Amino acid sequence: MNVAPGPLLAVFAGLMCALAGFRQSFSLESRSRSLFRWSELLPHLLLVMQESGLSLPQALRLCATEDKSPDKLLRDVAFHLEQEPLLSPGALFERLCPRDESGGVLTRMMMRLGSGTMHQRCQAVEQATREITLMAQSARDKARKDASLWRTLGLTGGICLTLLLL
Amino acid sequence: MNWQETKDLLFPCLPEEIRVEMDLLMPGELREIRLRADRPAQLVTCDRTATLGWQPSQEALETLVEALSGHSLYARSDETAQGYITLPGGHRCGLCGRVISPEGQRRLSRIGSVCLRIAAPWPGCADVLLPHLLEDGVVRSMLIIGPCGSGKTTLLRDAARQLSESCVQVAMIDERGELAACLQGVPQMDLGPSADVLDNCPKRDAFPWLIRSLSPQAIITDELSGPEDFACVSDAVFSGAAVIASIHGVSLQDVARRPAAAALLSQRVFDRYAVLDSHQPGQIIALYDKNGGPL
Repeated sequence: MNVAPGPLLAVFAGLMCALAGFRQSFSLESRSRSLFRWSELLPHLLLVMQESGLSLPQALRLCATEDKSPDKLLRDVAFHLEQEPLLSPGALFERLCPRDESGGVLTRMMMRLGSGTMHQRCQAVEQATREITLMAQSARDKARKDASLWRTLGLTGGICLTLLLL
Repeated sequence: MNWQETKDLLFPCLPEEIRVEMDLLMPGELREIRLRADRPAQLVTCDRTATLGWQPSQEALETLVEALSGHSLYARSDETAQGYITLPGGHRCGLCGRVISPEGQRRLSRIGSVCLRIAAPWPGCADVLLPHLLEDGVVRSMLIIGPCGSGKTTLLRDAARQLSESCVQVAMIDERGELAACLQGVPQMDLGPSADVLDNCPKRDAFPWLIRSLSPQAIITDELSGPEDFACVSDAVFSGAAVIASIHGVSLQDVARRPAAAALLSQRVFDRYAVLDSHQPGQIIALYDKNGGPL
């Protein structure tokens, strides 16, 4: 049985449009979740660094216990720091996370975690925590506001495109 | 820690030039790796000092120390303020550079030189002393006298190990972290099964602490110096614990000339005195009883 390519193409185009909307919505929510997780992780890291006397890889590992992407990234940094101790945490972070979703805040913090006194390093984490917390709040608001909009837009656009092409 | 384990520990933190040279050395041969900013690196062995072509920059030195510390330099300011960090296996990374003292707290702000001292335990070097330390199951107090580099610390460490293996409850006061080389409270040197270490604690606080909390049969410490140290030793011995300690000097007479030590000697606090050779590390040249008579 032969199916005309026109309707198939129309359905496919509609699906793609809907998917694009869903993808945009998912990306907003994912960034918000990730930044929110960072805003939880950093105060924990600060506390561990100040109180435990652990090395940086141990401290990172102790904080990053969940199965979320920031946790995995920190565990990766800890692992590579131990394997290649001459590399700085900043260089490693840049290598493992070339697209820093915090707009460079985390990379800068990691750079500063590689040298200096306890006070200087803790200041770096504190500053990053402040910035990330603000970012997480704004990303969450944006996700709440825009995610459903993108989904609706994608879906409506998809249906319209399909109908138009049919 | 054997030579292979030492290399496994240090190699990821060292540049290729040093690794190649280290690979050519025999176990126990390497004593120190000396690195200075913008100066050629040196490898010091038992009988020679080899100068290498590699010159570390100051940044490279700081990166290297950060790496050697396992990225924990920030958490070890108490050690760096004293000019060293202890590494696993008892190796010691001596530091030198610019010291600053903000708010009275001294700290090393920039590292200019690193002396990586490779720990070399010498099991059995206290064999000669053991019969004089442990007589009929009773631990005797002993003062080990020797100049710098005569092996006092190594001898004390081995004496601690052997006593501990003879089921004597040994407590060690490691004020400068040289005897047991503790890393986060855990001795990196082999001290046997019955030794406890109080790390980085001044003797005046450590003696009463140990006597109160651990009731040791023997307390081992190094480098007695001022009247305060001698008073602590005296208290400990009269509290029932034997004290095995070391002191700088070249002979018993030399030590007896120091006023604070003379009082200790006249009170017959120590049962035995051992004098070390200044030319041959670890070699005992004289043993005396509590009255100063030769044994």
